Amino acid sequence: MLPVRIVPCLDVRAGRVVKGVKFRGLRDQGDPAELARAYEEQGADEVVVLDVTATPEGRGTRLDTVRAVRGRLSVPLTVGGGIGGVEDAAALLEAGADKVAVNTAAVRRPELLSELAARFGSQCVVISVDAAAAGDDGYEVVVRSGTDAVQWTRRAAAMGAGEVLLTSFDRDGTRSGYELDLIRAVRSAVRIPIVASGGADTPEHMAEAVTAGGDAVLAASIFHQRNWTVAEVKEALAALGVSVRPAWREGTVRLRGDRAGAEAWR
Amino acid sequence: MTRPGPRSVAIVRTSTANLASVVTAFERLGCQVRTTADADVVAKSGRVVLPGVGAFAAARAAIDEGGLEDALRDRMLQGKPTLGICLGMQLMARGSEESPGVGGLGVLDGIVSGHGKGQPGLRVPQMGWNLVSPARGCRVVPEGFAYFANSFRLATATDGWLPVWSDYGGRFLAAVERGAVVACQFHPELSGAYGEALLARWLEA
Repeated sequence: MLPVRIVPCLDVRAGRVVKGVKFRGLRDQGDPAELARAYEEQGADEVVVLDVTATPEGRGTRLDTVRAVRGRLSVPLTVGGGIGGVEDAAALLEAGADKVAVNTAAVRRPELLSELAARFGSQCVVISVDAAAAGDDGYEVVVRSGTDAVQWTRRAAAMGAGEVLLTSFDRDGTRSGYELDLIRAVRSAVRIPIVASGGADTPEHMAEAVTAGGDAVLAASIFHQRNWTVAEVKEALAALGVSVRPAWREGTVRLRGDRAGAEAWR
Repeated sequence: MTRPGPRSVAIVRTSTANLASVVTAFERLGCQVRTTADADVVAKSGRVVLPGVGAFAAARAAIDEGGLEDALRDRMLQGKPTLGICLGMQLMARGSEESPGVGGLGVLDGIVSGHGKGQPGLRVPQMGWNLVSPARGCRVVPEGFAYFANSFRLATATDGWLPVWSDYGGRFLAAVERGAVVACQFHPELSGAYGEALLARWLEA
């Protein structure tokens, strides 16, 4: 297995990073390009930018944000929010995204996933699933009540999605830990990589998500509010026995999962 | 004596996806970058990058549409500075199981095949950072962690090319180099400080 990816997420509205709880009560957290660069230097393995308003009139602003982030970032960039069709995705990729995360539009019209995969390749297509607990019936996709989140993710992978960004709606911004049962359920259903999202507060939470089947762990609040740097998270994960990508220095390669290698991000 | 101007790099347009990342990475290194689908430019440019994401057949069709096949193959065989990235490396092989019946440039031996056959536990695509280990004598590709996003790869070395190996459910070619002609299955433009060092070395090769 590859080293676990640590993925800071920038929720962007009108060109600024914001963060709320359960998608509400958004507060300003800073400039997207500045934050993206800072996180890369701390050891972020990739960065996600989500346009949390994603209005049609905001599309120009969003492309400007993607261009600005790309200009500062030399690790992969996933962009999501309001992607309605292939042309929206093409514009984002042209502006500097490496992957596009589609959500609502794919639930409404799953063929969009195969269209995107045919044109850009599966490795470019992320299915973003916002899942909410539905009592004894597992988890449902938030955008359209009644759709089973696990079945939907399986179908999305079959349609051409190359990765799933799996967000627990109930945990988002709560810092109470990832929804582990959801991760386990999706892990048993698909072989595409899972980016676990929603609820991160500590490296222990991240280690749990990895054990449950996550290949990458996404977090926003803990990084924006400087509770943890990415470097500190990597060091703590390495100490917990989770393999992380070490810092690279010319002529010195440290083994994966090595604590000293993780510390070298400092 | 005149000082050398900024180094110029021509990037072949095989698809829209991911071009911005490649362009930006070279601009950060002070290069003058242009994208092209013109065979004459590909033949005559000092440095050419063949990137590519998406499907093998679609990228091959883009090469044919521009009439770029001979220009690309000639400069690779003549040792002119050329860098293939991801699908750009796969296009240098004889063909790919992804698109049966569609030929590659045939500069590298072997047929591109899929990751994880008979290994249901292996995540496909390979998405993330993997350790790459260059053979003794490699001058462009350093040892380190590089970012991969691929479902297909080459698993056999070609005589005369230095291999760089990596492991993902079995050994595969992470990169090859022969002088200034280099091909990477991973994305140096997305591999942070490691990738930047690699690109800087290629610009000196």
